[in-house]
Amino acid sequence: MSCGVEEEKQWSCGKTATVNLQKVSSIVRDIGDPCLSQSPIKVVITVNRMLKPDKWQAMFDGEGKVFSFRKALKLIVLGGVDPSIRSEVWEFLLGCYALSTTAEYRRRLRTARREHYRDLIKQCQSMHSSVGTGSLAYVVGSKVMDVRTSCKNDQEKQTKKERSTSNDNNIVGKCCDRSITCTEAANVSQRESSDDWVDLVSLGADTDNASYDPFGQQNCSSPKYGRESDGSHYVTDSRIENGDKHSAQHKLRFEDDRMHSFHVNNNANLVIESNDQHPLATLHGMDYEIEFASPDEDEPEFLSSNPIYDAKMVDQLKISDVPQPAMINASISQGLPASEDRVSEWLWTLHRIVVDVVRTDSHLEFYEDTRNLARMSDILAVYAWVDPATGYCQGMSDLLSPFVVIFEDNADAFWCFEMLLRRMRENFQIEGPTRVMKQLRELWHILEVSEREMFAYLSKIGAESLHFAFRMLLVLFRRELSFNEALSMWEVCAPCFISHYCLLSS
Amino acid sequence: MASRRRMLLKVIILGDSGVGKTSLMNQYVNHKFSNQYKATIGADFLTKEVQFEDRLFTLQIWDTAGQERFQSLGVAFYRGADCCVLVYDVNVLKSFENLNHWREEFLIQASPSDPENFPFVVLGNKVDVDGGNSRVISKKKAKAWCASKGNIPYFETSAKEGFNVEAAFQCIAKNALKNEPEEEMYLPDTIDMGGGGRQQRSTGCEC
Repeated sequence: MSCGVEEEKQWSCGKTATVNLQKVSSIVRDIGDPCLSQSPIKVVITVNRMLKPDKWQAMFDGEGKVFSFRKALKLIVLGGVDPSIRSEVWEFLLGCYALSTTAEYRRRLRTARREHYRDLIKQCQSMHSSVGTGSLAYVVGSKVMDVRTSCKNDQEKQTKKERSTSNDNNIVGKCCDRSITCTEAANVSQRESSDDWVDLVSLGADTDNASYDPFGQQNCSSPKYGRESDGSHYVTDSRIENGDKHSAQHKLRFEDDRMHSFHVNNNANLVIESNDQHPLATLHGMDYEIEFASPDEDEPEFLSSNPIYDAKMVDQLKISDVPQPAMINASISQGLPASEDRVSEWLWTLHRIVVDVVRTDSHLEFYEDTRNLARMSDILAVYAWVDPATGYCQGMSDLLSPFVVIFEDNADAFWCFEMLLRRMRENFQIEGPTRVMKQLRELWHILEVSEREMFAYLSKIGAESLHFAFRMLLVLFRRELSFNEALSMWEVCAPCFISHYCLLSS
Repeated sequence: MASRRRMLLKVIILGDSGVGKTSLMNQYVNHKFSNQYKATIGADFLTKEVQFEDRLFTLQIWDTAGQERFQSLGVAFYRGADCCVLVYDVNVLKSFENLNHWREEFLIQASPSDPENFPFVVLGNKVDVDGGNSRVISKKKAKAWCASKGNIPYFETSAKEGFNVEAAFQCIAKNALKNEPEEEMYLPDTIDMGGGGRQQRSTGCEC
């Protein structure tokens, strides 16, 4: 079927799922019909190619290790995933597990991460009692006070004071507030601390480039830019500390710390599969418990004596790319107490989350149940707490919603969401949607080569910025396509999300 | 002989997320209200034909994302605006406090030629909520702020109930029109300057 001049602009994804591109094409039509008249793009998706349960099951060996993910990926790219196995397949697609893991290992990992998520919910609950209860934190339209104002003023004074004494650590600690009133110095500190985390997680396939510093101290700043720029990435899970506060006992060696990664080179036949071995993961230790000064709470046993996980559990959590990296923001992990500022900022964020949650996919019957809205709100609230550099930004709820629908367990949904955001979070931070802007520039170059007619037309009307495609890329077509269509789209484009962006590969 | 071409007036709506920018725009243009509007990503626009003193204008209304982090896109959207509408929620203090920020941000990013006199209109939305019992910003306070910023026209609206929306947008259109420089008021299709010295644009249709 062709996405060209024919009336029938449908992208068939098999019997059950049909991606209707009319909405997309209507946008394109607005720009100018002629551009599409000779489009060479042909998308052929047949139901036979869809990844079905029997084929998926056949890809595991006796221990539950995936031995032929490449085949599965090919089917997914060509026809999507059968909805009945979606949750299972998506966890692999998003890189939640290494392919070499056994079923038993994954079971334990899942248990551990669910436990961890419960702890995080408890932390958030101690700041706002509605979290984890199945009801929303606010009634929309109710009177809402921003409790940040006084804190912010205090913080500004405080930060200024700290600047004069050059006490960097304190500035980092004080600076969880993402408000734009942060001083320059504070913002710099924030960026540094958040970058450290981003750097730890880069994605891709090139084993040659996967230089790995066993001591993990210097290596943390290079992967992000170096590897991304040449399109090769790898998954790693080193936990690298900012300071040297962590003793050697926090660095554990994991023999099977392998991450699956793959790369689609604009052609489904060129799926490269590899298991990069990263023999060492530097561990944070489990001192990630977040201490904070919660004004009206008296749960000292929770705040101060978080149970110390046994080494085995730690091991489990660190082997794959568990959510921990996001959990441990430098300001938290350095053992500084989370400030009141941070708590009040989070509470305000919670309000903004609720405002958006109630209007995310609200046409779906699923979200007529307030408990499901609360699930979405909880996950966003937890994410905002553990990754204050990102916090919450509009568009994130659109990305989360499918996981809430697909996964019954919130921890599982959170985990997948967190994996997706590792690739997307650059769009949602205070600096603005930098990733999308970069992608739009890349898209422009792609058009120049592949769609000359459209390129010429867009140039003529001065649409070089391609801002009309901004939303498409930011929320991965969630707004242009229906819920189910978007999910199919995510699947056939899954490799792009995981490796590098390649919107136009077909 | 100059023929009149329909003029385009560009209006930008700014304000915190969730104050009702999309709802106001849709109420005005389509006379509809829905609880199902999603958070605006990037920007959207709607157009509406308006008549003023026997002339037709096309009002192009740009609805923007309320989240600060998307402001880097602002330059592209703000450029060429004829009027800027600042919206806050009378029930949310912060959204009122941020009006100043939105105003300044607009002036920086759009850099209009005469920032002192650039037309703004302020809308205090959601006055219907809880019968007005949950409002935290009084009309007096809002008007005082508007007065301090060069007598910005102020309207209290309810996009949900359509209250005062039409009146507000009429004022917006009028102010947008005022902002239009005189020489651009009439765009002739053809120019016959009769030896004006300057090279003329090619005449006729550009098709």
